[in-house]
Amino acid sequence: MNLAHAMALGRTEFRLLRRNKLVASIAVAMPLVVGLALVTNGGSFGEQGWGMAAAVQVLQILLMTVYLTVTTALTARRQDLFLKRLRSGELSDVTILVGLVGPAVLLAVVQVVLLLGATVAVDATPPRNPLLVAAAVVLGAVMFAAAGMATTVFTPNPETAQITTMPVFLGAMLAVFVSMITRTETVRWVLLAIPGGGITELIRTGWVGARWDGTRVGFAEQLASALPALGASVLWSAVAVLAAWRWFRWEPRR
Amino acid sequence: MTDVIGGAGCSARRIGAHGHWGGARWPDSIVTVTELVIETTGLRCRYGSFEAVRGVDLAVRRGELFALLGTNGAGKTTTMETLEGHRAASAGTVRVLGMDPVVDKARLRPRVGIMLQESGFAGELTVAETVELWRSVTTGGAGDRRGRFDVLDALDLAHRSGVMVKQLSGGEKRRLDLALAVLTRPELLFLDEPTTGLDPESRRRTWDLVRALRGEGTTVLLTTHYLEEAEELADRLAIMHRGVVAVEGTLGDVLATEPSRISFLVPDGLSVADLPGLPSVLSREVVDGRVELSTADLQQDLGVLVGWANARGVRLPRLRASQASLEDVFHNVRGMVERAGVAA
Repeated sequence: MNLAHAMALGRTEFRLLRRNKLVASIAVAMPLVVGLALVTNGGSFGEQGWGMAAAVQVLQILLMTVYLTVTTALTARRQDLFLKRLRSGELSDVTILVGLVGPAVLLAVVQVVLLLGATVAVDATPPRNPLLVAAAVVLGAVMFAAAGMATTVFTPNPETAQITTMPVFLGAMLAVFVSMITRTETVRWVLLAIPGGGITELIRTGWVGARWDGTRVGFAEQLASALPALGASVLWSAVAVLAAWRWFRWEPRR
Repeated sequence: MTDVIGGAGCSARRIGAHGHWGGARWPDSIVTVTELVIETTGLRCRYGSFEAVRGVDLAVRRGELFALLGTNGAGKTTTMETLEGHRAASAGTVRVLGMDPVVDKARLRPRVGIMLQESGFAGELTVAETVELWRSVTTGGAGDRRGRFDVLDALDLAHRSGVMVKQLSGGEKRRLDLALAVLTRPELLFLDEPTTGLDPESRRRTWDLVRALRGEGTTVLLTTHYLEEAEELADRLAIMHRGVVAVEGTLGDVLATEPSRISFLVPDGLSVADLPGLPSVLSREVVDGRVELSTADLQQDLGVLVGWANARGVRLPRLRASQASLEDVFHNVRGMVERAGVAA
């Protein structure tokens, strides 16, 4: 990969994201509005409320800023035959993808840092297990960026991206909200099977320093309890990367 | 000169009577492999069960402009895409600047410029931003790099540099395509139908630029639908049909593969039997008193015929003599391929 080339491409991609009002609002405006509304409300969800607020914030950023944006932008670049053009030059495929997907991931990371930073400022308690929170953000970014690439495979044009992204989007949001209201073992395993369910649990428990069921435990036990969620997230990330690798198309179907 | 093929006295290669390639490979022993910028032997490309290219031998020398002509579906673009490294050949060998275009893509691409038959840009970038982006993602091979307005000026796009790409006309987009392909002064330029959809003025401008690049030593491989484009620009050309090269050579060579024609009315008071035998006549038809001859050597046969008539004081009414045009060759290629049995 050529970093200078990827960065040049990334700068252009930022410019394009800014110029497209729909994409700009999905990638930046919406997550910030939703996230800011939650920043001061963590305490209203009970003892573990701040963990849940953090999970909702991170998930909605990953879904909108990464998943929806990557799907929409790559579909648009493919439809414009811009991907085909880029491949006719010196850029390797990896450089092109890093250049086009990188800006969305970077925007997401910046927003996560801003919103979680604001949450910490309001709650005055930093995450108890930042390792789990960071792992969740990294795995989530990989998973949803790759899922976005894979979703372009059955997205004929950027307008339909709103529809084709719905299953993953709603599934992940469902996992977040169900995890807020119930905490039985069966539900936990069902949620872990949904893409995004593992990420949710990692942030929720990592933030408050608890076991999966909300019981406060020591650091080592937190990690042990997080293994299924980590495993599920790694697995879903791998599935998304493999699907993107196997099926991503550089040119529109004729 | 090369072998004489098919008795037509030409140096173009064409399909022989048994479906084999006729003629020697290259006439000059001093032409060494290193001077071939593009070389393919037995190139085949398959899409599933359909074979789009079925055994193509090409040799493009450094500094030459080589035109690939053919009908839609002849395999021109597939051949181009294989040479560019966009797809792997299913059989045969491909060398471009001495490299394998797929395996050595990273080393090869900085030295070539590619204008695809169909490609695009991000519609929400301006022309200037697009050129700027392309400049920042290319390293260039051969020489100093053109300034932004250099290349836009040359293609009459400078006044459009602040316009969004999505607002450009089809012809303007095509010129922007070319501007990006030549931005780094590549050693080798691939142009896939560069002037399709252009108005005559833009076409002329494109030709001027291509000629100028050739003057600087750029090797160009061009595909086109326009026969006059090949006549105007090409040092050598090949006509493809159904995945094979039917005719190849210089314009003169290629024209010589198609017989020239002589026609006249049988003079009053004479019959067809009184006419002289001509040495290079390939076929003779008489329709309503009009004699139609095809000849492998127009000058010689015409000379004999006119000499015979002058010596007897005979007028040859409505005498016409014409060399074949590229269009004649092009239209006869189909029959040529099918007769050779390659199209089966």
